[in-house]
Amino acid sequence: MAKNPSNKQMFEAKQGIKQYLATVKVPPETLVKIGQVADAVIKDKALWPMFREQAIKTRLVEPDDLDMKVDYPSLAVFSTMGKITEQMLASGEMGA
Amino acid sequence: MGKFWSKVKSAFKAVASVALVVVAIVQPQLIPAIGNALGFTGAAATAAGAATITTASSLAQGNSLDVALKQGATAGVTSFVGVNVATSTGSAAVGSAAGSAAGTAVAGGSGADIIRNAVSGGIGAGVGDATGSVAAGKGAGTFIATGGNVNAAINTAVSTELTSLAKQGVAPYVASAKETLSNLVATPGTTPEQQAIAGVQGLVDESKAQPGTQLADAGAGTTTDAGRLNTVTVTSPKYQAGAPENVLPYTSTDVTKPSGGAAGSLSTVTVTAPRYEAGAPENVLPYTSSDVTTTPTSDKQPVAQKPKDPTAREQTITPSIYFTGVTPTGGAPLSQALGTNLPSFPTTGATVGLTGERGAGEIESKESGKERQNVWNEASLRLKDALGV
Repeated sequence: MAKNPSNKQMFEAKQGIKQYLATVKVPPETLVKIGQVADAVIKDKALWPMFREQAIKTRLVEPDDLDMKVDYPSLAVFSTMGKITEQMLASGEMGA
Repeated sequence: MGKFWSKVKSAFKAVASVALVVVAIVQPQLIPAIGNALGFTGAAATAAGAATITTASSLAQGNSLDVALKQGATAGVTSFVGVNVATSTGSAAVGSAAGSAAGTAVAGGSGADIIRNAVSGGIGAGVGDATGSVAAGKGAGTFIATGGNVNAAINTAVSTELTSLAKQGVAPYVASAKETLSNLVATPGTTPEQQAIAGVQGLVDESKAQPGTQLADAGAGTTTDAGRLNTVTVTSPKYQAGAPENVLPYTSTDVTKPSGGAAGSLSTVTVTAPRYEAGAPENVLPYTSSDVTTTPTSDKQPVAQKPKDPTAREQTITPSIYFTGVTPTGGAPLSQALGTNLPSFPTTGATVGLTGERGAGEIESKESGKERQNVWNEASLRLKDALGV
């Protein structure tokens, strides 16, 4: 389907996000918002507790999934997923 | 982080493994941002961010920690070496600190600390390569090997990896990285590794464009000084006791002959060194081209002429009296000039008109008003002769 590695990786990422949202039963708009919060935490780690609380409340993760200390890989994951989800919402891919 | 990746829900773990792979594609600015958040700045921030994402991605994909660390360190090395190949600045200090940090990391660090220190270890090895010091890379490896035995497998793996990178040197490593990544370069800057390679090339090009800097050839793995003009210094021989004053004859053949103007030979320019003073350093005459003035001289010097005064008026004598058709019959020059010697000139009354009613030789007094005296002087004699009386 995808001729170059980048397109193939993006396709897999989009598919993974769809499956993830279906599993946790969370609307894509919530993932977009939590991604925006993750961006803010990367710039200001003091916001980490608030981010962690929001991520747990929205059932995107469970309490044991996130440490009390700042976890940048997790922030990178949510930030990237939020961006991709936003693109899919804009292009109509999310409903497909 | 280990806790997060080991206990995270399978659904999130699965999506994280694919999301981290495309971080550089979706938002490349996130990589240095994470590096900054970890406390790194500049090129090291990009290296740290790249290593963080790479390591986490590797772990999310199910790789073991040692493999993930090696991949993360490699990403950090790739990014950081890319910068140091061209700049070669501040590498020693960074390398020293990085080796220590790497040893701490494998000795028992966890989570973000492990990643951070693994990156530092990679930086240490990269700096060793960039500076051409294999010893630096070996030093980092040795430190890791003796830094603890909490996890012998990781210890050995990272140590071997870093030492191997140092032994390879910059050029083979970058070359191999280029070859490995050549298949991935669909769009420049889509992955940390691609960004690093692009950065290497860009910085090399930049260094080549700046004279006076070191030129780094990533392909050959060499750095050379760019060409520059050197300062020319003329050094006179040391003064020897009893010898005449030091003189450096500077002949005209060393001076470019000026074009145009009168042909002539250039005068000899002599550079004279000051006398050597006891205890003074060796005489050195800093010589620059601006110190020499060439003045052409000619064998035949032109005669000097006073310049014309543009305001001066030339005085010319133009005759205003012309005689035509009548040939003078003789007589004195004055009578000729006056025409009194002409046949048509009336002689009667002429004497009266010129001398007044006075006798020959009588001169009228101009001031006293007294009676004229009958005297002859030179003026009267000339007048008498002119009148022909």
